[in-house]
Amino acid sequence: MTTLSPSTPPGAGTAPHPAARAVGASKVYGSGDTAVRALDAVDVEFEPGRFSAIMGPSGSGKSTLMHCMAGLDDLTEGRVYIGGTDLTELSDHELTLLRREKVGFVFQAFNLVPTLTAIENITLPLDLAGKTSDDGWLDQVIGTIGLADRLSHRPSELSGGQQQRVAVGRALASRPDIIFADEPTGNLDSRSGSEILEFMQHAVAELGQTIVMVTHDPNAAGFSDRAVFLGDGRVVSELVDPTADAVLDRMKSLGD
Amino acid sequence: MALLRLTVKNIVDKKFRFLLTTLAVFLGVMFTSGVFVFTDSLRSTFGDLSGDIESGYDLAVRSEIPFGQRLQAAPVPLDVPDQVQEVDGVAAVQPRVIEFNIIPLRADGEAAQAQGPNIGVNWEDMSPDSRLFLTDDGVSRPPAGPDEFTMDVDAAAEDDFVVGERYRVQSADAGIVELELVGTFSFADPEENALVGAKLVAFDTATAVSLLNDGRGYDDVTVFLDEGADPDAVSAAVSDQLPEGLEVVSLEVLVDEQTDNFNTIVNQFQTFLLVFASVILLVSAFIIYNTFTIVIGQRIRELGLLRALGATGKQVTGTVIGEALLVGVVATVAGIAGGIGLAAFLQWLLARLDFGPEGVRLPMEPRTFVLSAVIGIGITLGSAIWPALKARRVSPMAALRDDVRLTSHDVARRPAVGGLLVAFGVAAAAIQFVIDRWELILLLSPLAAVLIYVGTSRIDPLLARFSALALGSVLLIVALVADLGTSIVLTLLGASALIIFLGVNLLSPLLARPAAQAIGRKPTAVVMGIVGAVLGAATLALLVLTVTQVAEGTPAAILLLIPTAAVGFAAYLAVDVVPAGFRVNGLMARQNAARTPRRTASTAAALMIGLALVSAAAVVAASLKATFRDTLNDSVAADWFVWTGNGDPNAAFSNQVAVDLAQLDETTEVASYRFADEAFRTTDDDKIHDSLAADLSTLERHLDPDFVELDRSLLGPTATLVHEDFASDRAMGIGSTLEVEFIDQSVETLTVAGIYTDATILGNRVIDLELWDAKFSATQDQFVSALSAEGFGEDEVRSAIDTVVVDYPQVRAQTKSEFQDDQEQQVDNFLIVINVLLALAIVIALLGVANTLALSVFERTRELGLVRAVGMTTRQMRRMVRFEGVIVSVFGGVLGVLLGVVFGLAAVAIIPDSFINQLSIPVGQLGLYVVLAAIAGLVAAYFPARRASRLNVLEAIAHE
Repeated sequence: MTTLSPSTPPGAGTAPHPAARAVGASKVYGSGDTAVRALDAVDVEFEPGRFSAIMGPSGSGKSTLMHCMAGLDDLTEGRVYIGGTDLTELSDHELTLLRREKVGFVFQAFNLVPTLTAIENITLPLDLAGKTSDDGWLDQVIGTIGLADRLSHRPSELSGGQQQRVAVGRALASRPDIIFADEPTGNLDSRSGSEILEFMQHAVAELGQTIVMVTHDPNAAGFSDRAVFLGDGRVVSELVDPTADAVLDRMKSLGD
Repeated sequence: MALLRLTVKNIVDKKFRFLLTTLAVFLGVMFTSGVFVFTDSLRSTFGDLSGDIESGYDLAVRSEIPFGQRLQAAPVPLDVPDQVQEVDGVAAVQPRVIEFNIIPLRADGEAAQAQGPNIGVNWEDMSPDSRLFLTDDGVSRPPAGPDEFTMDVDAAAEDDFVVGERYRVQSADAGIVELELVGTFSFADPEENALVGAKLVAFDTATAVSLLNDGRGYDDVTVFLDEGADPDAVSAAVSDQLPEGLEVVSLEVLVDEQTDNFNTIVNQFQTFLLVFASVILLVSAFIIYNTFTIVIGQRIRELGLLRALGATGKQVTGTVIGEALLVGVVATVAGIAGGIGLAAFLQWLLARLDFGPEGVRLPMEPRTFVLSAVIGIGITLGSAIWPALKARRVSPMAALRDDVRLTSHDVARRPAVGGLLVAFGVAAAAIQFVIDRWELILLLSPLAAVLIYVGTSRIDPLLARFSALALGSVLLIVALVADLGTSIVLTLLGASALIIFLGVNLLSPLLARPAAQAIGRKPTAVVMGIVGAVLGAATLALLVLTVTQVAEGTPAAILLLIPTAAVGFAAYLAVDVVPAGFRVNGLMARQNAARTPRRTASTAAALMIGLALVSAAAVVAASLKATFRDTLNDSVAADWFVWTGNGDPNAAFSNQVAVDLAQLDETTEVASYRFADEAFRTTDDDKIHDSLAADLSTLERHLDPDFVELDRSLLGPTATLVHEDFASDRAMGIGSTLEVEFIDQSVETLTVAGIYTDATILGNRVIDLELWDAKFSATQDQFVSALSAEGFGEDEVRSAIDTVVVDYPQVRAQTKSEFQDDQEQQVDNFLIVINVLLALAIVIALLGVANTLALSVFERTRELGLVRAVGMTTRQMRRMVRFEGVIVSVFGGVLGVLLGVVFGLAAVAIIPDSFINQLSIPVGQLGLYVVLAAIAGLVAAYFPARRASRLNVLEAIAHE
């Protein structure tokens, strides 16, 4: 599975790697008196085949954690792994290839290239890699997102919910090891948001994908299999199979 | 005040954009002001030189000429100086002799040719104020007797002439003479030789008269007055003494004439350069317009916020105008400074090339500053005014909504008002044909275009888009078919070109989308690959050449590495972009180009103008060459051509060459040719005509002009041959007579003995050499042709001819095919000069491409961050931006080449048949221009692409 510069993390043994892992991950912005510690020695793992949520209030470091784990940003200290690959040892070019092949992204907004049609957006990572999907996976993804009749439309001709479904479709298309979703429902009304979250649940359950979602919305976190809570750059708590109410309660207790 | 601060902040924040926009105006202003300063400095140098050349004396006696060149005037009789000396109040007289093409031969036999003219004069031995100052070197003395000569000190030093040695000198009438060099001298100033690129030899007066004027007389006689004598009285008294046909003029008149002669040349040079300056400024205008339009589109939310906070539309427009004003002022100030620098550089260059005085002088005429400021600031403001007016229509809602676009607002349709405006426009266009003034055409044509455009847009917007092209086409057709004066036709051609450019620019947004879709595909990428491979091979070849040259001990060859690197870089860019044609990044590139058709169109328009002019020049040059080839094949009958072959119409050589050639066994029928720009004046209409002089009886066997009719019985000294156009204009046939006045004021009746159709070589009129000799004092030949004698091979004849011309190293003997190649080479050289000047316009257009790409990279920051996040590599990103550069450039290139062909065809149709009667479209060359445009697009995209690929992914995604 790990085709890209495999470097086994210490102590991993022969057990299958977690989909993503951070070890002592710290991120400091600025220096001296003005230094801000966005991440403070975070250790966290995300298992394959699960839908995980990273929760936390604004400024808790949840987005920074996601950016670093996805190879978009680099750490000040510590290591992050995607599968067996140590991201901190990769060059910018290798990181790009890793993102293309092993990582999928769903952003809050502006997820699609406006000049490309829905289907062109979905196949963008594949096309960039010069690959064609011939094993029926792409058909399966397209079937799942359920936009067969709108595939040749430009993003501007799609609703916000439809656009996010296309974005999830794009994240799935390259069959990545892990998908990172950054507030994927932040710009949607609650009905469209629920649809997307159900769709992501479905992708994990039926297609065996791994999704890590950053959100501050307890309702969204309620759709996940596991919620990790961040505060002041540290992992402060965790819930397995959370409900929206449980998440809300936990957040309140953390806020106190 | 707050808004002013905002304007300044906008500029400071966007330095790169400001720099590129300013650069476009800066280059235009620099070129314009440089042209003025440089030509002013030429005028002042030549003004001083005129004062140097003509100085010391008070009056001059010379032949009266009604028109024409003084050099061809009849000589002043030999006894005139003595008669003038007798007049009361005359202190001294100095007869003067001057002749061009008097060249001394160096010890090794080569001609000591000057950058400028080689001039022969007489030693001013009777002058109390001679212009020739003997060098104080202990050996120099003035020339005395028929066996001696002197030369200017710089020429002697440059060509290693040694005083005391004997040298051979080319004379005007006596062929080669061998004389002793007895001294050197300095001209006009004993300290510094005031000869701008010329070389001077001097003989004593009697020798000069015989060697330079065939013993017939002097060119003029200068007169020095007694202290206190009244110049007017003496002048009148001298005048009374003179025979018919001579006149007395004052020193001031001669200085002014000399200055005027120089200034005529400088003015032509200045006009020529200013035409190119206008092209550059036009291209700059497009770039400014484009930049401001894009920038306002990008700032639409900010402008909306200003409006929401209470700024009036006027204030919003004010900030944009303010920014344009600042761009204009900065560019103008820098441009004027740059222009002065450019002028200084050109002067330094000329001095280095021995063609100008040492030391830089930079005359600052107020006119230079005023015009540069008006042009620089005016063009910037004029180009920004439309975007600025659009900015005032930004709604406050723009601040609150995401999806607001700056749309061109719908003009209320008022057919009545529109119709009236169109009527005014048509009237303005029509009036210019009635008032026969080219200045008015330049003014009225654009006015008509604006009126018609605004008028039609009140009737139908789509119609309006076609209006300018329609008007331009009509003007072009009028220029083609109507019978108008040359300057009117040329102005009309220029005005119609301008309006057609605007018209195409109005229409090209409609074309840009499909064109970008068509261009941004695999075939383009494949062509780029082939181009890259060819350039790669060229790089290797250059590298091998460099290495071998350096190995052979030519260290300067290392400089070849610069073009090698440039070609190699282009090869890399061309090959590198190929994968984009096959991948999604290429798809994105063409979608981006198609996304904003208006922007793509006006970016391409800047490039289009440059390429249209280059292509038009190529079509004209190819047609000219085709005409030459055709003519030379059809009409050149002689086997040999003996001439200087340097394209200088004044270059001539001793008529002894023809005499000597005629003595050879290997040649038969040697024919001489001489040409005068102002040969005679037709007495009925007072028009001055140029004419060739040749041997009419043998002409057919040397240069057959394709006679419609030729009556050999009419040939003789007063016979003339004329082109059919000249004949039909004057309703002349064979046997018709033509009364003409010559430069010596004599009137002759010429008889038309032949009418011909091919004017390429002979021009429109030919007179007999015998008549020439009787009327003109210039007796040197400009051209000699000869036939090979029966039974001699080419090599034998050539070596025989070489024995004659060996003493005239500047003269070449060419066969028909060599002559033909030479003529074509000269057309090519001219084309190179034109292309170099137009290249500056294209460079500016490329700044525009770079600017647009940079702005659109900035505009798409978030999108670029997104595609980087989902796996686009930096290299794919660079390819995407570069491929977009290729698409835009090829679009502009193709439009430009197509328009250029149209203009070229029009020019060929307008140019008289005597110059061009063939049409040739150099398809390969034009194709090459499009390829060059594509490469230029790659180069222009280099920095925007780099910038795009270096975007920080996270920051880009977060970018607002």
